[in-house]
Amino acid sequence: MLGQYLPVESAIHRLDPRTKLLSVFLLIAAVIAGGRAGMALGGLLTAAGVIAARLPLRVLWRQVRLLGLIILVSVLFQILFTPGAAVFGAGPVKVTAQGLESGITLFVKILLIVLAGIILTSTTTSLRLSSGIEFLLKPLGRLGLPVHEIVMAVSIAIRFIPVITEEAQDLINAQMSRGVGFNGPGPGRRARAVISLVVPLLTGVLRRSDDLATAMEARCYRGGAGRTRMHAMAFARADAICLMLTGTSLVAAVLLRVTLGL
Amino acid sequence: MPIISMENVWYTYNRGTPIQTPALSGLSLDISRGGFVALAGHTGSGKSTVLRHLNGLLLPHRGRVLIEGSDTRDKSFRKGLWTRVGLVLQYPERQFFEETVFREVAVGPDNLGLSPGEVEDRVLEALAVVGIDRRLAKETSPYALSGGEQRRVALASVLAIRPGVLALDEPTAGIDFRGRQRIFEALVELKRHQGATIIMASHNMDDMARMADQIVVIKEGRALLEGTPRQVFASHGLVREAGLSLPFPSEVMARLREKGFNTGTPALTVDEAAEEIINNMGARKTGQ
Amino acid sequence: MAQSSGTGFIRFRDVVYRYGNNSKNVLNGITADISRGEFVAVIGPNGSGKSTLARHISGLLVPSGGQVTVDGMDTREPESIPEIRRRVGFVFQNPDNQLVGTTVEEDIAFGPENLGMDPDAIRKSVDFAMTVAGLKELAGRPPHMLSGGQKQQLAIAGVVAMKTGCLVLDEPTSMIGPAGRRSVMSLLARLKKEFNMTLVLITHHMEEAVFADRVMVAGEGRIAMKGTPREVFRSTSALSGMGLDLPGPVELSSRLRAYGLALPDPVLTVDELVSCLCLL
Repeated sequence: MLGQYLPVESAIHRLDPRTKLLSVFLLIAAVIAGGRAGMALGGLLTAAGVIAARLPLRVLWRQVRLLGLIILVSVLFQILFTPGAAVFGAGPVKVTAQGLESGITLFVKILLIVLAGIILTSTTTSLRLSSGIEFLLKPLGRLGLPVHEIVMAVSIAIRFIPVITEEAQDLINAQMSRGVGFNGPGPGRRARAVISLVVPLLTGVLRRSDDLATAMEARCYRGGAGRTRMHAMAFARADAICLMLTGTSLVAAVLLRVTLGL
Repeated sequence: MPIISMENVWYTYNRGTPIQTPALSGLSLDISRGGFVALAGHTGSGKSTVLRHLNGLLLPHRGRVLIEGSDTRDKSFRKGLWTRVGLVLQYPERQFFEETVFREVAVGPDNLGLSPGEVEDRVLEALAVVGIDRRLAKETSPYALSGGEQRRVALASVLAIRPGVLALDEPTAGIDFRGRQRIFEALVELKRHQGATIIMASHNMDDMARMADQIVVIKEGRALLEGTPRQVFASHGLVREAGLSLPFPSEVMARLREKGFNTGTPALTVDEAAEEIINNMGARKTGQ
Repeated sequence: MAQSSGTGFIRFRDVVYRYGNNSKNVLNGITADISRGEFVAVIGPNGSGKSTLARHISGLLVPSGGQVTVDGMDTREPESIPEIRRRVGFVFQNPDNQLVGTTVEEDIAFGPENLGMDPDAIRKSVDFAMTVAGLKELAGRPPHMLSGGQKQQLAIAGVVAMKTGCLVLDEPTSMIGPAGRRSVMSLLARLKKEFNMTLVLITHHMEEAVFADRVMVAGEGRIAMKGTPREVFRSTSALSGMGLDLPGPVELSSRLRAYGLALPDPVLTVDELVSCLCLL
């Protein structure tokens, strides 16, 4: 499942959520703005992050695979539509050296960004993540944006992803048991199959959100005002180290690119 | 030949991930035609996983599942399996998507490709079995019904396919006493008059004692104990080991036996228990 | 705020409730009192209004007519609602749709966080609630990886951490298995015994109602019967007439009395039944 929290103990799990958010941000900046040096440093940091977070490769692969199509399509697009000297071609299709290079670059960049995101979400529970985001977005609150409410809504959405996925799976099973074909022939039948899934799923989500709103009200929830947090966020040495590493990488990558053109 | 036979079936959810959970660990099971079989076991014992193997929603990682002699791993056989094994999952009323009860029950027969007349026949027959008024069915949205009625409509929506085997996961969960009675009446009708084979996963021991003619106690993905309700409930020790309780009448008889009463086979109904206690009292009086 | 006299911690006075304006009354004149520290079970068939009644206690619904007060505060006064909810916790039927946190301890912390407690105090309440509810080992587990029974224990722990003193439960065991049901019931027994918590349990499992101090039977929006379990379960034919089943021991003992055995009326538990029969 994309973005699912993985309950294990690790150094990355223990970092302050703000640190993780900022680090991911710095890392992505390094990868995007830092040229090849950025990609190399970003790659090293991501690999270190995966190891420190004790993420099994199999889990990573499953999550990356979910985005496989998007990655593949954008990379193919780069390869096929970048003008330049053709390496080989067949009819209207031609592959250029420049195309290949930018395709590979794009692939590495997307992969690193996705991996950084996976490290963040699998090591941070959504409530902690939301505390972090809420803190970092505080300046926007002064502009009148309901930061707390937005962040709360998103974190609840994340909490319910596995529940609703399971419900969707149950529904597919139930409808298949009545002969509803999800990959059967004919657009009419398939449209009906989609309806048979969407209608009850939406009904379920509406019922759930109604129930949940009532339950939150019963537990004295009245929005962000007057609310405190159990995890007072505090920076520790590990947080400083993590930010230093990602920060230095960004600066180094940009410097290397500017000075040596890497 | 048994209508269903599961041979040394193994299945693990999320196989190969850190959250992998074994569900079936070498389960074997034979079910004969026309039987009413109850799968007993506490939450997580694997009973729902067994049901999902019966109509090919899940395929065994090891071992095999044969339905009327054919293997569920055979893709062409599996394609028509939903017409032979009707599966009613937990809280089936959550699957509704049609505008009227009638249309909802017609989903299955429609997918069989039957003529409108035949579809109508089947829908009306299924509604009659579960005791839902046919006029109501044409005008009412399934969501407008009470919880118990919704459950029966969901049951009818599978019955209308006329499967030879009906597999039910906790058919009475969350339904009140009256609603429960109505569902069981429908199942009895189905078994008696249409000769259907029924497999029901449940944790209500009293319901099982009354309804089933075979009980399979499942623990940690294996069949721990198997037999008629009387045989199964005679082995209190094993039943309790599986995290289950005895049905109330058997519980009383077992407890009386521990106190030195000379009670015989476990009682399955309150009437049986009353009769046995009275006989026993009489015997004790004359014995004294 | 006027502190009401007498024992009525929760008071219903001629409470009428209907959804919208023209529909039928769901509650049809309910008058009842529940004292501090009391364990009251409310039983009744589907559609009898028992859940609606429960929702009135914590001000999730307010009466269309009549009055509900909690600790002397009227639920119709909006400014009383936060105070009432500090005193009355609520556990719902569906174990999933009331859990907010991504882990067990985060979810328990949700209520105390809403009350604005400081982080240390929250930490202490959460640890206390986890110990009471037996969830200590599961602190970091996401809710969707718990069993139904554990989810309900978690929902109860969320209330315990808020130290409400009163807990209303709306059919908390109707969607969970027997093992979960047993653990929820023994948790409730513990809350009453050790913390003198006021409990209002809506249920359709008669065997659960037997353990209450008092039983109210709801039927068609009214309280049709009330009394101790012993008083209520003596009226076997009235209960059956309302479409309710009887606890097994009640049914069996009444059958045995018909055969002429001298058993007390009613016999509520298996233990009681066995020891009575042994004395005959």
